[in-house]
Amino acid sequence: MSNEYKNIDDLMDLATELNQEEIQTMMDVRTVYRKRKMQPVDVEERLRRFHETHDNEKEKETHDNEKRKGAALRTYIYYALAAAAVFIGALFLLHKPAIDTQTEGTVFVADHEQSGISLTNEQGEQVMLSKATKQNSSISLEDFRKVFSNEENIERVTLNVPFGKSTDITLPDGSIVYLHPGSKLAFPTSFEGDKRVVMLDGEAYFKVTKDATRPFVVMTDETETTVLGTEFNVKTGTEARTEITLITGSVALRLNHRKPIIAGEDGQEMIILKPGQQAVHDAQNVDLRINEVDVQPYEFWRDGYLYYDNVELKDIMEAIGKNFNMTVEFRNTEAMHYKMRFITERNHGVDAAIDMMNRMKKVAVRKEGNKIVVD
Amino acid sequence: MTERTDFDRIFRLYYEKLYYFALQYIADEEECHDIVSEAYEDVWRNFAQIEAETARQYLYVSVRNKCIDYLRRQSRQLRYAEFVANTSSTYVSESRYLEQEDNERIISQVLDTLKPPTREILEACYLEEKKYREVAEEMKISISTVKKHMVKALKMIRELKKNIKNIT
Repeated sequence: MSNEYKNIDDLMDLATELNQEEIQTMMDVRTVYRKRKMQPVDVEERLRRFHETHDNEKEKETHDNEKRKGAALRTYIYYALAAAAVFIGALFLLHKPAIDTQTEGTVFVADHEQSGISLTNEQGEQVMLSKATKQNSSISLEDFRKVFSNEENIERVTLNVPFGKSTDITLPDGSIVYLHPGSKLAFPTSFEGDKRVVMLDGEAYFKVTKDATRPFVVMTDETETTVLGTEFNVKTGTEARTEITLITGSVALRLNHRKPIIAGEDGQEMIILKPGQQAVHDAQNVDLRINEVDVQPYEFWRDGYLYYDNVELKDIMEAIGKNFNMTVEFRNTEAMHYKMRFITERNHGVDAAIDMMNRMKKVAVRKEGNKIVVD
Repeated sequence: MTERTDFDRIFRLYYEKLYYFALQYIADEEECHDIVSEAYEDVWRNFAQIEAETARQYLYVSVRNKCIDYLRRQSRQLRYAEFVANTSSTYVSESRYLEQEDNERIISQVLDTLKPPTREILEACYLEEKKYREVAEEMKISISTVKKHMVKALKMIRELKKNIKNIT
C-alpha cells in the first residue's frame, strides 16, 4: 500500500462544494469501497501481538491499579444541558516557563522579591492580608467584606498568592477556591448577571455552589470551563498545557478548533467529563485528551496536604519548592525520576516535609542556606 | 482475570472500526495499526478505571489526535492535517457511533444502484483512488464534469441515506 493517498488534493477541493454531512458521506463512501477491496482485519492476531508486547508492563502496574480501582465512583453520565456548553479555544499560547533551568538539576527557583498574599482592586491599590505567618491560610467571606465594604459598587479584584503561600477564599456566592502557590484569581466583589465569571492564572481547586440559574465560569488563557455545582481542579502552566480535572459533579467541555466546527446532525462534539477524568490540552494536540486520574491528590491539596502517589521525585520536589518558596536543586540527577509516594501537611512547614522525605530513605535532602539540596 | 477479559472485549469491539477510522486519513496500513495499538496502550495502562463507553470515546479521540499528529509530521500533508482536524467526526456521541454501521450498509446498497457514468466515476475516484485528471483523461471528459458527477453523487447518496433512515 502506498504511503499517501494521491487524490487528497482533489478530495479537499471537492469538500469546498459540500456541507459537513456530505463531506462525512464522502469519507464513508471511501471507507465502504476500501472495505470491499481489503482483506478483513485479523483482530485475534492483533490482540495476541498486543499482549505479547504489553503483558510484562502490566505486572509492575497491577499494584498501583488495585489502589486506584477503589478511588473513583462513576455511575452515570451527566449531560450539562442547562449549562451553556463551553468552547475550549485551541490556542497555542506560550507561557513563560516557571523554572529557570540554569543547571539540569534545578527544578525550582525561589522568588525572592515576592511578599505576602494580597488582594488588589482595579485601581491597583493593594491590601495586604496579614495571615501570612502560616504557609496555608483561609479568607472567609467576612474577611473579604471587611476589606471591600462598599457594596454599592461592584469591583473586580485580584487575589495574588505568591510562591511559598497558599490560601483558600470564599467568593461572594459561597464558592470556595483553594489556590496554589504562584497563582492569581480575579473575580468581582459581587456576582451579578447570568454568569459567575472568574479568571485564573496558575492552579486552583474549585468547590462551586450549585446555582442552576447562573453557571460558574473559570477562564484561563487557553480555556473556559463552565459548571453548575461541582468540584474540580484547573491547572495552567508551562508549554501551553491546561489540565481540567473533575472531582465530583459535572462538566461539559466543547472543543473549538481554530475555525468553528460545523455542527453535525447530532450537534457538536461534546467532551463530557465524569468524576475521575481529566481533560488535558497542550500545544501538541488539536483536541483535548481525556485521562482517568486518581482524584485523591487534588482532594488532599484542598484539605491542606501535599500528597503524591507514584509521582516522579522531580515533580514532588518542585511542588515543595513552590509551596515553601525555596530553590530546589538535585545533586543526584538520577533521583529526579524516582517514583514515590509522599504526604505532608503544608502547615507543618518545609522542615517537616524534608524530614518526611528523608524517612523514605530513597534520597538525602537537606537545606543549604535558603536552598534545598537533594543527594 | 476479569481485567484482562474486559480489556480484550474492548479490543475486539472497537479495533477494526478504529483501524478503518484511521485509514480514512492515513494510507499506510501498518501506520494505522500502530496508531490504533498506541491508543489501546493508553487504555491498557490506565485500565482499572475505564469502562467500555468511556474507552470508546477515549479511543476515538486518541486515534484522531494521533492521525492528525502523524499528518502534521509529514511536511507535505499540513493542509490535509488541518482539513482532517476541521471535518472529522469522532463518534464521541454514542448515537453517532451506533449509526455508523447502518450508514455504511445503506451507502453500500446505494452505490450498487448507481448508473453509469456516475458509478464508474465514483469507483475510479474512491475505489481506485485516481485523481480527477486521470479519470478525465481515461473517460475523455473534462475535469469539471468529473467533479460535477462526484458532487451530484455524494449529495444524492446523502439524501437517500437520510430518506432510508426515516422510513426504517
